[in-house]
Parts: sequence; C-alpha cells; structure tokens
Amino acid sequence: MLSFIIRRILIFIPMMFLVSLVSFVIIELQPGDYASQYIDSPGITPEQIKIIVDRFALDKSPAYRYGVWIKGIVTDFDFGYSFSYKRPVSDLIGERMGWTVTIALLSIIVQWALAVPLGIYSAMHPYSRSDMALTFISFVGVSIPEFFFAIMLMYLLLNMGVGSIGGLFSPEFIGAPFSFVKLLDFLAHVWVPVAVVSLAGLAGLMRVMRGNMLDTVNAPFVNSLRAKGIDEKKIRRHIVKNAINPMVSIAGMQLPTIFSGTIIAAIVLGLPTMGPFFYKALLNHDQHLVMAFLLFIAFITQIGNLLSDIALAILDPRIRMK
Amino acid sequence: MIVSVVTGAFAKGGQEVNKAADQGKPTVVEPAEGFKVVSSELFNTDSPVKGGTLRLALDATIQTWNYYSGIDNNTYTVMANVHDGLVEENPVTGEFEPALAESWDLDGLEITFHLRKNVKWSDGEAFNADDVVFTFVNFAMNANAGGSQVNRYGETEVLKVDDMTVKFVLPAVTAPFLSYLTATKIFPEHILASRIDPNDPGSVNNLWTTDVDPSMIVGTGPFVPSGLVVDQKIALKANPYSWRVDAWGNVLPYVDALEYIVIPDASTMTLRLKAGEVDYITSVSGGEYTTLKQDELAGKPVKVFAYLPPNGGVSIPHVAFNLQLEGNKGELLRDRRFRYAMEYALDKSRVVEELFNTLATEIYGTSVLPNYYFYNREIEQYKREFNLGKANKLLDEIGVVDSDGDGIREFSNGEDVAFVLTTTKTSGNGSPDGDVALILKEGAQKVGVKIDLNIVEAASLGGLLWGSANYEIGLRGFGNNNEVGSRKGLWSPDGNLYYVHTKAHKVVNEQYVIVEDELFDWEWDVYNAFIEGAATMDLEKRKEAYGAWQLAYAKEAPYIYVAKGKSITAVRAEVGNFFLSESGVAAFSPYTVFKK
Repeated sequence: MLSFIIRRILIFIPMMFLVSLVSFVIIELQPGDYASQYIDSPGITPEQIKIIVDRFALDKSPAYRYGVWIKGIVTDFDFGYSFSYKRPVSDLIGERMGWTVTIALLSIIVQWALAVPLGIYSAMHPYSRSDMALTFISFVGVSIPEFFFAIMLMYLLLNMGVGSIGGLFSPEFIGAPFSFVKLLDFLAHVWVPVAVVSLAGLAGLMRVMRGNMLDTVNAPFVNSLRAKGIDEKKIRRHIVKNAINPMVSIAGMQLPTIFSGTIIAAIVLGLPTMGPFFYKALLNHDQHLVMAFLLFIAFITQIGNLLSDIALAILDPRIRMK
Repeated sequence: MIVSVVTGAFAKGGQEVNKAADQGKPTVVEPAEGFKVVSSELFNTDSPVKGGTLRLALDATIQTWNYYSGIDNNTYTVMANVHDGLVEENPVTGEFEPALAESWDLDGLEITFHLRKNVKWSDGEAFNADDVVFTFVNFAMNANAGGSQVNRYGETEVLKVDDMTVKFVLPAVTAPFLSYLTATKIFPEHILASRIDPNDPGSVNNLWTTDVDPSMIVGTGPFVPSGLVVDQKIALKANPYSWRVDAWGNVLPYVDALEYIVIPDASTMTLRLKAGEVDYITSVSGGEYTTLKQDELAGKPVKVFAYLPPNGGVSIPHVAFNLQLEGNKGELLRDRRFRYAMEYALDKSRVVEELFNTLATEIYGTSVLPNYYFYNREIEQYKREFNLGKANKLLDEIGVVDSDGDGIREFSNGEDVAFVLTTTKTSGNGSPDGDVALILKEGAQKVGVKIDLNIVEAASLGGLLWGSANYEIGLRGFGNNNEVGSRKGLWSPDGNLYYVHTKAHKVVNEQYVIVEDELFDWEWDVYNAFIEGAATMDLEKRKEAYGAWQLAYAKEAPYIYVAKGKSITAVRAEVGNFFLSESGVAAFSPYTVFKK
C-alpha cells in the first residue's frame, strides 16, 4: 500500500509539468494578451503599451515566458505575478481558497449524505411511487442548469419575503467579527449555494447508487448469504458495501468538478470563490493567474483520485491484495 | 422628521451655529472658508437625515486601491469617493465646477489654479500644492503608471507657485483641459512619496494594492476606505475632514458609511435591490426596467428612472466599414452609396424597441447627441431613416444586382456580395452589439447583401478592429463623452482607435501622426476639424470646428451610429435626495443622498 501511494505521488510531478505546458499553450492560443485591453483605451499612447509589454515580457517568446514561470515555481514556489492586481498569484488564490474549499466540502457532504441513502431506498423499493418520485426529481436535477436553478431559487425566496438573498452573509455581517448571530446568518445563506452546487451531482450520484444496488441485490453471493441464514440486515450491509465501490471512484473526480464546473452559478450567487475570479482572470488575459488556477485544478484532481484509490483499497480487500 | 443638524463646518470655521435650525427650519448659510456648497441641483429637501449606511452594488471586487495602477472601472467607481481632482463635473448639468481648486485664471498657455484653503487629508495633514505637483509628476504624467494619463497632458509643465497655487504651462492650447482634470485625482505626497523607488518609475503601480491596511489609504474625498472583504464588500466611512457642505451648513456626506456589495450578475443585483440589500443601482437593463416599473406602480418601495445623461452612460453602438479592404469588397465599402444603403437597411426603430425596450433614441449623425452643446443641426438634412426601397435603389445604381435569382446580389465577376461583420455580444456599458448586428444582418438580407456574423469575446475585439484592421465590417459600442476633444482618438484619422482606415496614421517617435498620402479628401476635413477644435478655448469656435467634423461624417458615413440607450437607475424609496431633476436627469450622488 505504501509503495503504491509513493508511486502515485511520484507520478504527480511529470503530470503537473504536462498540465502546466498544456495550460500555457491553451492560454497562448487566446487572441490578444494583457496589453490588448490597453489598446482599447482612447487615452493610452504607444509608449505606454510598449512599457506594459516590456514590464510583463509580453514580447518575449512563449518558450522564454514559460521557462521563467516554471523556474519560479520549481525554485521559489512562486506562481507568478498578477498583471491586474499587481500582487503574487499565490496570495490572491490563497485569499479565496477558504470559501472555495468550504462550499465544495459542504456540497460533497450534502451530496453523499443524501444520494447514498436515497439511492439505497430507491433500489430497495424499485418502481414504487416513491422510487418514481425520486427518479423524476433526479432527472429534473440533472436537467436544470445550475445558474438557472440559482436565479429561480433566489426569486422564490424574494417572493416569500426573505430579506437577504445571494452571497454568504447579509451585508451587515460581511467582515463583522465572528458571533453566534453571524453563524446563524451564514447558515441562513449558505444552504442556497450548497443546494445549487450539489443538486446536479446529487441527482447523478443517486441514480448511480440505485443502479449499483439493483445490480448487487441480484448477485449470486446474496443468494448464498440468504441460503446460509444470515440476517437480512447484515446482508444489506454487504450489498451496500459492494454497491458503493464504484461510487468511491466517482468521488475522486468530484472535487475538481465542483471547483471548476460551477463558475456561472457562483457568479449568479455572488460567491467569493475561485470560479468567478478565474473567469475574470481569463477575460483580463491575466496569464499567471489563469495558469496557476489550472495547475491547482490538476493538482486536486490527482489528490482526489489518489484519495479515492486509497479509500477503495481500504474498502475492498481484493484491491489490497492486488 | 429629523431636522438637519449644523455640524463641523461651523465649528471649524469658528462661526456660530445656525440658531434657526433649532426651531426646525433650516436656513441657507454661508460656509466657512475652504468649504464648498454643493450645487443645489442635487437636493430636493432641506431636511435630510444624518447617519446610516448606504449600500451600492459593484459587479466585481476592485483590483487595487490605486487609481493610477491600471484600467479597472470598479476601482475608479470606488475611489472617486475617496479622491478629488482640482475640478469636478456636476453630475446633473455636466458643467465644470471648482473642487480642490477654488478658482483658476487662464493666460494664454498658462492656467493658474488657486487651491482650496483649509482642506485636510483624511489623516489630518494639510493639502497643498506639493500634492498636486507630486501627483502629476509621479502618476498622471508618468508613462510607467498603468492608468497613466500622459496621452492627455503630453509635455505640460506643472509648477508650484506657492503652497496654495499651482501653474500649468500647456505645450499648446488644449481645449478639453478642464475635462481632463476631472479625471485626475490628487494623491497625498506625505504618504506616498517615500514609498516610490526613484530608480523605478513603474514602482508606483505596487502602491496601495488590495492587501494593504485600508486605514493607510488617505484622501480628500467625502469617504475614506475602512475595509475590504475579498469578493464580498468594499467598505468606506465618512471622511471627518470632508470639505463639502450643503446650503444649510451640514457637512457632507449625510451617511456614516458607504458599502459596495460585490454582485457579479446584473439580474441578481436587481433581486437584491428589491430585497433591500442594496439601496440603488445605476446600470439597469431595459428588460429589468419593465419589472421594476411594475413594482413601482404596484406601490412597492422601489423607484426607477430612465433618462439621457448629460455625459457618459450607455455607449452608442456604431457600424464601421473597413475602407482599406482590397478587392471588390473594398471598392464597394469605399463607395458611400453602399454605406448609405446599409444605413437605409438598418431598422433603428427595431433596435430601440426590441433591444432597449423603447428606452433609447435613434441616432443619425455622430456620437454627439442633440442635447450636447457641440451638436450641429445641419447634419439632420442627411438623416437616412429605415427605407428598404432607397437601399435597393442605391445598390442597383452601384451595379451589384442579383443575376442568379438566389436573393443575394453579385459583383461583376459573379462573386456574392457577402461580408463578415465582426463584433461582440455586449460592450461599452451595456451596448447590445451582437443583437444590433443581427438586426443589420436581417435588413441587409432583404436588400440582397449577405452578412455573416463573427461574434468574438469583447477583450479580443479591439485587437481585430483597431489593432490589426482584420475585419470587413465591424460593430462596437464606443464614444459617449460630450467633450468631443477627449474622443479624438476614435474619430480623427490620426487617432489610435480610428479603425475605418488604419493606414491613415502611423507611429513616429511613439506618437500617432497622419500619413498624408493616404487620407481621403473628407478625412482632411475631419483631421483639421479636430485640430481646430482643440486649438482654442473659445466655445463657439470649437462648436464650429466640431460641427464640420459631424457634417463630414454625416455626408460620408464611414460609421453608422445606431441608438443611444437611456441610463436607467433604480432606487429604494427610503433613499432621500434621489430624484428626477427639471432637466430630466436623475440627480444623486453618494455624498448627497441619505437614508430616511
């Protein structure tokens, strides 16, 4: 197991290099660069544009710029400098990491806490009215775009007379010191983004869990267990343990999906997370910020996969033996 | 109703309290020396309420606290409350008024500004001429500053005459000079001078980044920064040393705090206004106007105003023809009859009704609106309203006909008369460029001209249009400033953003100059008009010069201007001093409104 983990961690390094190269190439393919927005401004002289180009080395070859950036990461853990914010990229990403991770983890917890039991219930009562209702809800959840669901939910809350919608806090609590009232305000707000972000994933997970359960329920080993006279509760535990196996692999991919796949919903909800920040950086051609974010996504994808592989090994003795 | 209380203006000036205020009836009083009475156009009550927090919306967090380190509209919006210029623009009338300068004298190429006395920075230090010189040398005229304004000031000399007097020596008559000064905010020398690297003029860009303690940000404006919560809120508080007062002696602002809540999505902004989380929003779309107006009429505590501002607002989308294109297409674009035909084929009334929800005015001529001082009425004889018959007639005259009956005209060599129109979805404060392009495409199709749309990201459009002239027909929202001279870069052949004929100019010694051999005859008229318009401070002569430009554009139609959207603002009913003025413009500012 230990050698497996070490091997996986060692693979991180060439993978990250590859991702950094691909990210850089994709950014370079974007028309224009950071200086393009200055070209649009009536008050900017050619001299000023030249100064900007020189300052950020925009006229240097792509290979040179990539080399300088990678060298900074490898030698100083320096992910570069934001052209727009005039600050180190790592500081800017660090400022937004807290809420990004919070919303992401809460959404994953909610998804799993609901999807697994609902999937099990649905499989145990196949084609019943409740199963049909859950199936319908899951199809709706998968079909509705997240940003549309966000707007709809906010509109409904407004019409119900809710005083504060959007964001994570009411305006008077933003930046205020922590207090119990502030915590209550946070809980009154955070359920909306968590519901929006987790809905589509929850619906999908529930369907997968249901499908896995239905496959496992009819497996030969279940009949053997019944024939042995094992208690039905224990049999159900064995069924769930086998059915949940494929779900653990899906879990590894959820983190990057939640980070990068909810940008539009985060913009609509006004969340102080990295998604909307990344989108702005793309529009501003803030190259280092964009590449650092893509590296971050690649990193947590690998971490997520590693954790799910470890979890699988823990859950499934067959994988441990292999 | 709380009677306005006379405060610091009089305590500081040593004058006695207005006793009439004690009896519940405020009276107009003379302010102490150095204080400015804010224009009466911004008030519709003599009994404001002091205190409370005003909350506004911002579509993204600020990139920096530094007004001069880059191009960020949100930084400009927030920091306009913190810093002042020598001159400011009345938001209702558009007139120039004294700000940090109480008065000025013009003598040929020299303008001497007499600074406002007794003004203090928000940390209590005195404001003086050193701050003005410092700002111009290190920021406004420093080409290394990301938001530098060196293009406007050129070789202007800024000289300290004494502690309260500054002289500007202009290299040439610069008619828009006062307009430029409204956008040049003065910075504190005593705070920033020691933090600039004398060997690196670009080091000014690293000042006042968003990670500094907001209490370090010092200004003379009505507010000062008090906090920043990343991507959530930018908080300001009332400046204890504010020099603005109302007519009754109250120091402005009325509110204790001003907070900008970050709301990236426009629809969500409207929802949060309705929920009462935001007090007013200034960029409501035509679609949102309808629902807000319904709410207002249903008695809900929201009011919405639509009006043509005296300056700025939604940019005017315009169609541009690449006059240096080669081949048959280029020849056709250079034929003014074709450009006329395209204007006849463009249904501007549809643009107004469908895209702006009727909240716009059709434009014929240039970006100088009929309510602007420089407007030339003579251009109205060249008005080309929607008329497919006239469009068809002109195209027939040119000789491009539909010989194969497929509905598209052909050139003499059999090639279809088809163009690619390059544009973006929206630009320029909400200009609906992509949808305007669609309406033009449909109109052109009816007269046998095929237009294919190339919709690109707004950030990339400039590079294709004025960056490389890599387009056939372009469409962009641009130009909404009533100081015509400040928009020379767009409309004059030597302008860096003049993109119908980029060969008309070139860069020599890092300045844009005309290429004489390239200019069309009418372009000489335009070029000379902008030279003459900037060469005098006499308004009548400037009007005549810019009138010649407008006439040339009306006759030649290198651009088709489409429509000017009205500015739409929505406000909660509990906000006072926010109203429609007699001139039809919404009157408000963060330092004159109050919470009832």
